Amino acid sequence: MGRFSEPALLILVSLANGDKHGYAMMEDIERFSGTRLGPGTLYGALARLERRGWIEPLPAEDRRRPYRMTGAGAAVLRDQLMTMQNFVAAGLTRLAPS
Amino acid sequence: MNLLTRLYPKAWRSRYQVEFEALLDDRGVGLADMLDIARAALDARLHPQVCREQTRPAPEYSTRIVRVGAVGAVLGGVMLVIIGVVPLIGLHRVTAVLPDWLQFLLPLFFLIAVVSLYSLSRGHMGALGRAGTGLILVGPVLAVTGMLGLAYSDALWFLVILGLFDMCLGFVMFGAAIIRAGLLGPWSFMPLALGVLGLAAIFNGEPAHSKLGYSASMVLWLLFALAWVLLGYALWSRQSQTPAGPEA
Repeated sequence: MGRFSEPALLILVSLANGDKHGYAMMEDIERFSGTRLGPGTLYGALARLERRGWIEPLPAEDRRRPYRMTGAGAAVLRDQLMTMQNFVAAGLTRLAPS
Repeated sequence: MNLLTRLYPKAWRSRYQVEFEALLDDRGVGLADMLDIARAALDARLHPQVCREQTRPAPEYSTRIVRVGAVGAVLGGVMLVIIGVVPLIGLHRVTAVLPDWLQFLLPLFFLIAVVSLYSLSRGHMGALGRAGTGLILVGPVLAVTGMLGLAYSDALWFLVILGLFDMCLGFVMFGAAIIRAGLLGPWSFMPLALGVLGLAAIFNGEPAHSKLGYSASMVLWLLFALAWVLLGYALWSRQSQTPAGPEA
């Protein structure tokens, strides 16, 4: 399960439905997960994701730079979410009264 | 704001400072944010997050144009085989059913690919690259002029060849600049290879009168067409390169 840090996973999920700049990502992440990322945490994760080639910067709009998830990023996100889904299913099955 | 971002290493700031400060302006900074930034800046100093590739200016090209160019290069390569090579191996029936105007799509596809390459490399080219781009852009115009003129005089065929030669020479110069800038990653050699193959095919002449013989000449033209297809692939895959790096 340790392939991603939580902020990286949140960012990829946020970018899964379209390109966003930093502030839009923070708002979106807070909306769908209730997690309020700090600006330092957000950009630390963005830098690592960009370095891995899982997201890419787009041309800046004014001073804001949108980011897009790459094909490689979508593949690893899908893989990670499937792993989490299996993990959740196994946990719930074991919790269910026999 | 500046005091907070100055906590980050220089390489990080040169890449992210402008957009990071825009975010801080949009959001406002509370005490918790200041602590978060200080912690993240320390982390960036202890575990560098920005590689040399990222400190280059972020791309200013439109990915849509690059993708359209990729499709143009592939279609150009396929079209070159259909209208240039297939008739030469005796399959005239295949091309006889195609309308005449289709041949004008060939330089158009090449032109689209070239515009896309130019948009990708703009700002990274030296004088050699810019001169090469100029030659490349003139080539298809000459070729189309020659093709239109063929209705009036066969002598204008030389304009078609001149346009092709001009474009290939431009690709050699432009390709050298692309290799220097490494703009297409492992495929950066492709524009240069395309230019060299095109020049070789032109100097060798038509397969029927070639110096190397019919088969070798056909192979040369096929490789030239394949180079266009591969250039299209290189442009397309430019969007999904995955540099190595630490865990996210």
